[in-house]
Amino acid sequence: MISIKSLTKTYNYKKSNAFTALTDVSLTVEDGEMLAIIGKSGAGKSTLLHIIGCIDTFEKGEYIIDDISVHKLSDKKLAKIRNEKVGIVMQDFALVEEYTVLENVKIPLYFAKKRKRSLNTLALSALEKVGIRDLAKKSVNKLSGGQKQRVAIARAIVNDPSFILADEPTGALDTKTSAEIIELFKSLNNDGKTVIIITHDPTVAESCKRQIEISDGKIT
Amino acid sequence: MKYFRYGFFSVIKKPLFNILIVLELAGILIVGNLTIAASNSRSVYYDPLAEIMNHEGYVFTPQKNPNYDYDKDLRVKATYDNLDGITTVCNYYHTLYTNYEKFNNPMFPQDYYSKNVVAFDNRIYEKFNLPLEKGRWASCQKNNSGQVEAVAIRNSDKIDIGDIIPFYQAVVNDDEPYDIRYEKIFDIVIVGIIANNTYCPGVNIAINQEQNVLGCYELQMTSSDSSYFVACGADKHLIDDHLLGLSTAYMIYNENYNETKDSANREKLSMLGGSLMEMSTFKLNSDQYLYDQFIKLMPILLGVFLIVLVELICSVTMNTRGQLKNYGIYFLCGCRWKDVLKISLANAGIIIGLGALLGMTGTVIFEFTPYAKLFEQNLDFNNVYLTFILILLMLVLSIMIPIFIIGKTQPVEIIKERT
Ligand SMILES: Nc1ncnc2c1ncn2[C@@H]1O[C@H](COP(=O)(O)OP(=O)(O)O)[C@@H](O)[C@H]1O
Ligand SMILES: [Mg+2]
Repeated sequence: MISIKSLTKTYNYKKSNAFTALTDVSLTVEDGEMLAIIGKSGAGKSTLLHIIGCIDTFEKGEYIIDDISVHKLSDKKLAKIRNEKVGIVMQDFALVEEYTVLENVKIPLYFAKKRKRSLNTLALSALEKVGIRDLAKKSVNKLSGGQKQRVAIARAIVNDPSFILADEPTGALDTKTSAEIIELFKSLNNDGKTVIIITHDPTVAESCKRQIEISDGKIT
Repeated sequence: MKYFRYGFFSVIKKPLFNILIVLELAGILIVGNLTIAASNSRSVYYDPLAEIMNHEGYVFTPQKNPNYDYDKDLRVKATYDNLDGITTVCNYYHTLYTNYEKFNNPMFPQDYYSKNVVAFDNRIYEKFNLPLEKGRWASCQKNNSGQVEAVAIRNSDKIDIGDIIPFYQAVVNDDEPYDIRYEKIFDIVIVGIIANNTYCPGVNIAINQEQNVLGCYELQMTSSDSSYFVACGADKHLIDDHLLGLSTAYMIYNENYNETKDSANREKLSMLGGSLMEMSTFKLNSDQYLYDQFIKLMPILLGVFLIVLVELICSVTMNTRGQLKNYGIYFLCGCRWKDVLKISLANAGIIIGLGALLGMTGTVIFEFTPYAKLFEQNLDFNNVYLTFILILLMLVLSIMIPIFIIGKTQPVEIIKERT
């Protein structure tokens, strides 16, 4: 479960160019939910997702993920949360272009604390789930956008996290491919994963069970 | 291990960029090494005489007659021997004859050929460390079989290690003046071949215009026809009894040397005829020579150093910046931002390791090419230090720059830059 209470995020905190991107945000996401975050550009959606994904920090308020209070956690523990609890998918896929599909999917496994059995087996089974097992040996820069996003999703789920966070995952894809990717998120949600998707696209938002809107750093 | 893995990945996944950097690093090491080697080779000529130059005394070069004058040589020797309170360090050359088959020239069939054998004073002999093409420097110890060890300049590729060359002296029969006998004196066994284009201590020349150490050497080349054999003068066979020529001598005052002795000695030498230079002047000139050589090489050394610095800062910065995007992805996947530095270090370590290996191999290989002698190369321990210092510098820079860049960067900003 994710529980955020009165969270405020200020960029360049205590500097002359300080900018408050999130003001007094409270949000609870139950396990197994599929949530869409919508809002205008610059509203603070990505900022919120980065905080949930433990990529970014915040100054005020509280954020609890699975009973762990994140505020002021050590780098090491934050890295552990990124590695084990959340899987993050970006609009531009955030893949290492020079690596093969398999190498990309294996990255979280390498940074995992406890050594898993066979990294290849785990990575291949993640690729199986997103339907591109046959592309494992291909170099990422030879793939189409849809295929790349599947690789990114496979990497997000390879360590079996409870939460999948996606920042405009269909933003760079055509309608048909977008629909396929959303189906993929749905099936992951059906498997019990909590899915949070930022989107501009109303059809994407509608396919989620719950929607929230952010404007000017506040949930409305 | 994982850090090394990703460090390694970042090298092999960008082969062209990294090969270029490796080549550049190697190139810099080679140029640096060769520059140091070149400057070393200058002191090769200075060092054997360094000890002697530190004494008070003078450098005397006897006047030579255009025609060979055996009596003059004897007088020179006698004068040298008669000096009072002075230690004379002097090389001798002997014009001897050999019928060694390798010298046979079908165009001019002749039984005996005259060759110069140079015998060194053993006070300086052992300090010579001239570049050898192969083999070793001849020892001053006489071996049991009565052979004299010598190093030679390879004469038109004929002479080689292990050659045993008989030497004779020509004796004129008293009763029949035109009848010459050859009497065997000794065998020379070749134990080393002096590198081509080497300055060898000269014996038959007047000191050069600059009147410094280099003037005591002559350039010896394979192409020149005169064979040149260098043996240690400690062997009495070589010094006494035989036809000899005397070269520039270094004359050192013994203890209790005084003005009376000095004026007597100077008188004897001036009667003999020749040029006399104070040792202090000789040393001053020679120091100047060494300094000039150093000043000539200084810009190259400095240039190399600057290139290393600029090149290294650029490539490390470029490499780190280029990798930042991937570091952001590792961060996203659960790598601590601090640990990204380890990947960067592994990356730099691999590149520098390869560059160093290639550079050292390249230097050593270059040493074995004929070109090395053209540049008067001479590798020694200074090269090891230099390589060590350069590699250290590379390591320090490739640690400092990533620490700076990665420390200044917020991972979330890299991730945002992407979208
Ligand atoms: N590093 C930063 N420094 C200052 N302002 C920032 C920074 N990052 C984002 N912002 C601002 O915070 C606001 C929210 O940004 P973001 O969360 O990316 O919006 P969204 O994803 O909804 O488009 C924007 O106005 C943006 O300009
Ligand atoms: Mg955004």
